Amino acid sequence: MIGKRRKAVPATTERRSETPEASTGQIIWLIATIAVTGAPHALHVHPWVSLVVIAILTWRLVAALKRRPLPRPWVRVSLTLLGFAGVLVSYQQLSGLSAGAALLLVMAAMKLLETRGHRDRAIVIFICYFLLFTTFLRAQEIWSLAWLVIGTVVATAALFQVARTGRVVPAPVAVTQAARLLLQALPIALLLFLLFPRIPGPFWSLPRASDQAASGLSDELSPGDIGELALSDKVAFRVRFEGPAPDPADMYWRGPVMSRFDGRRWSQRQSTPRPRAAGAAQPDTTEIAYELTLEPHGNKWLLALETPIRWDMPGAGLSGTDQLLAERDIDRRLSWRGTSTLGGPRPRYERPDALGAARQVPVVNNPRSAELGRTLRRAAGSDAAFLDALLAYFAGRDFAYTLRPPTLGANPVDEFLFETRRGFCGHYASAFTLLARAGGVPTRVVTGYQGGEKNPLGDYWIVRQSDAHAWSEAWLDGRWVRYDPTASVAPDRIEYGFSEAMGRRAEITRDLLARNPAFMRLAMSWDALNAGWNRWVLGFGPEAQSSILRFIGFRQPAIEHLVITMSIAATLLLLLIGISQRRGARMKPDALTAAYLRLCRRTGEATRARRPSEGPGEYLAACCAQRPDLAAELQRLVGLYIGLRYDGTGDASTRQEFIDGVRAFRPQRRLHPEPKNGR
Amino acid sequence: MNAIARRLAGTFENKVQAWARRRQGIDPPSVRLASRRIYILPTRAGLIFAGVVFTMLLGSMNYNNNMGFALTFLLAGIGIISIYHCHRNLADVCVHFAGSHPVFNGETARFSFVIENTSSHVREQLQFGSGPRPDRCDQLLPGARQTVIERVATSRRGWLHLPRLSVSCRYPLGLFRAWTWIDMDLTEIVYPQPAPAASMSATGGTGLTTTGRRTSGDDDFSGLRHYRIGDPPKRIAWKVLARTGEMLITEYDGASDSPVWIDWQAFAPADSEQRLSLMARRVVDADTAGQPWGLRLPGQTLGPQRGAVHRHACLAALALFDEAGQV
Repeated sequence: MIGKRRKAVPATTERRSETPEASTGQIIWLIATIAVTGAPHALHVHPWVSLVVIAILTWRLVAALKRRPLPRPWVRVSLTLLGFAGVLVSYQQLSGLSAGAALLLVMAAMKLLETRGHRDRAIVIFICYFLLFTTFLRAQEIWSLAWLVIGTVVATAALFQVARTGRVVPAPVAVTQAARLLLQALPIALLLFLLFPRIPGPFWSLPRASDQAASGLSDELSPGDIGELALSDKVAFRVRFEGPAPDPADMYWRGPVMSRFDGRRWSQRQSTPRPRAAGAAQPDTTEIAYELTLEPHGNKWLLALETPIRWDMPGAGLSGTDQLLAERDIDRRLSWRGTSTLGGPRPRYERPDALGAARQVPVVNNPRSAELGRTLRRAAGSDAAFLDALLAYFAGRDFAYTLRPPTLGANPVDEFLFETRRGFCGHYASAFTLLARAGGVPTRVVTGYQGGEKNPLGDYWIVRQSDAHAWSEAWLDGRWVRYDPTASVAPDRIEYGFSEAMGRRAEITRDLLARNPAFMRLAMSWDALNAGWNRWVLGFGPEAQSSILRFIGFRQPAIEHLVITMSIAATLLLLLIGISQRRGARMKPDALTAAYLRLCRRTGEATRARRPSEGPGEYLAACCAQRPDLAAELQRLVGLYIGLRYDGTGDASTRQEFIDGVRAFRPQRRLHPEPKNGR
Repeated sequence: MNAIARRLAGTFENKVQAWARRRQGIDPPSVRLASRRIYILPTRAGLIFAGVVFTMLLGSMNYNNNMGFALTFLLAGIGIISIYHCHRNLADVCVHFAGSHPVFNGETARFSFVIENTSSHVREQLQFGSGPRPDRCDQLLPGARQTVIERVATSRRGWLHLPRLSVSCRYPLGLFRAWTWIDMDLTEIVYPQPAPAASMSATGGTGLTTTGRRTSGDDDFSGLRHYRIGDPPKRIAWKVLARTGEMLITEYDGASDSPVWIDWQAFAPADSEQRLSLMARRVVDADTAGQPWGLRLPGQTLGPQRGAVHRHACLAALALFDEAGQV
């Protein structure tokens, strides 16, 4: 018979439309994901964006529940364009952080109006992943890790649901699946986090978050204008000393140096000159090595311990006023290692114009102070004695240290010295410097932080914004010598650190809780946790990767080594996952079935294979007919099996008897080769 | 432009198909989907996902944001893990061919298969076939089986060759699609489409040559006899069967045992396809009437006989009749 064999035509050539319209359950999952991942942005974007998004989500929910038709394409397109235009008009740009979040929110909501195919629904989830990502540009605190997990699980569960055809699975099942995927992905993620080469950015300009941390320091110092010094508990930086920590009274963290004074306001003399390398330290002083983790403050200040001699920041250097500066503004958390000496710098050359500037006394105001300075200098025998006399002047009068000083008028230093006599470090440093200058000694105001708070749980020191301080520096015998007039007035402030001194004086409005030891311990633990987080997770970068490579054994780590190590480790990891996935894939038959299958296999080798349709009895009959020599043993075994499996007769001992019998049953192959034309 | 792209894609697909066939060969009617024959590629959503992760990577580098890196790498890890899950969901599934039936041209041929899960984990979201409405198997528990049907539209009589079919899944996240091709080399016969009953008179000849008296119809009941293989079900005396358990056949006067001859030569030689179509109609009618019939085609004669086997033999002969080869 001659048959025509040919390809049949497939039922339809159209291949798309494999995925039908989203089910109600899937829409609810999409809405929930947008709501969850969008929530942290809701308060940061313009209110209209939040309102529009909420309105669209609500409408879409109702439409899904009541099975209303979705808007036509032209309505959708115009709505989307309108949304984009709205964001553009409200933000004037599309690259900022809030504008980006607003745009993503609008996109996600609009995409929800078009959910025909699987891809449309998946894209909504992808936008939600971006929303999650944007959250971390705002905050990277330790709780953001929890948010990372929650957001990823919700969005991935939603992705799991929208990829399904047919009904969605119950929420707990989907969440479990997503959590399982996340757990299994963790080793890969960890490996990539540790070894993926970090190419340092930025590739494009960084939009600055508006709530960027402000420093307790500034470019200017104008103590007379401040009625109340706002205290901030915010951490400025954390320090870990390698070796014993110095006395807190010796911890002066150098910030901007101000030598220009207009009678009221101190400011830096010039915009930062080119950084230079460190001068040699006094040979007889001890060196203190430390690692400083700086919170971002938007300036170049590295806030080194006085006096820095070495640092491992590429591009960093000392300014003309001995302040350690980074190459560019510090916009992210930064760790650097440095070595300082407490002995102060060696005598060195100072440019005459710098010294001249440090002598200038404004003539327009503060005449009484100037006069006082001159008088004291005449009374003292030397510059050094004069400066000591100045310190004694502050200690001897009824000066008081307060954070709520009265505001001062046209002659701020005069009023402070002779009338109010109440002020904080800025007042004292300012007055001291002016008096010293009037006496002819080049002097300048140094701002920075003083002291720190040891965290007993973390073996490191916390320096807060409230530790901001100002002191003076005088040019004496060819070098700059530190004078801290505040120490003469309020020794506690220097000796015990700011917070403790204030606690004793009970002058500042600290929470009563703060003095509870249990609470303090809790707060310290929390800070230790944060410090660890900052150091190990957020501070992880190319430097840490280099040390990993060095640990592995590369002497001079380079990016290629990182790529090689990552590739090898990733290959091994993927193999491992593959193996673990394969294990236990087959359904294991129970011992009885396994034994029976083995019996069939062995009998099959001797006679013929059991056909899938044959039961034990039928197969037995066929085998016995073919091999009478095996019949007795086979009948016994199959009898046992039938009894165990089907009749419900037999117990553990017969079960064992059967299994052992099968193990011992090793029939010989065919006695005579079967004739070719047989059977 | 579009046409060129389509042709290129077609050529490429043919090459891939040929490669897979060389690789896999022809499958037995019962296959276990071994790992080596499961292919996996990202779906479009998967490609977009990859783009999303890459963009996030750039963003993290730009902002030097370690939490951003963490999210990026976690998503990358989830993507990679989903490859394993997707592959594992399909590997070691068993597919058994469970039969098909001849159809008349124009009808949809249905090839039944049984999908069996012999593993210890649940299989999800299997998709059988690649047509516009493929059969789905939303969940297959360990040890469970499900029948699925591959439908193929017919447009010509003769042998229908079932094209290579695919079993696929996008589980769990729809980012990857794992699939396998199964080619069991299955064929089914397609009978010629029977001409509509009304068109009989218009063709001129009736195509009937009776050797006995003309059948007058099934009107007159003449008695009962025992069932013989091939008797049409509609003539089983169901009431008697229900009452006594005996399978009896009602006999009518009209249904004489004298055979009807359906002869190729007796039909007007207009169009051979139409001829075959008319003959198929006769065969179907004669079978429905419970009458014995014989078929004469150039070069072969079947019957006279009656019953399903004979019906199939006749219709198959019509389906495979090749005028050029016979005349």
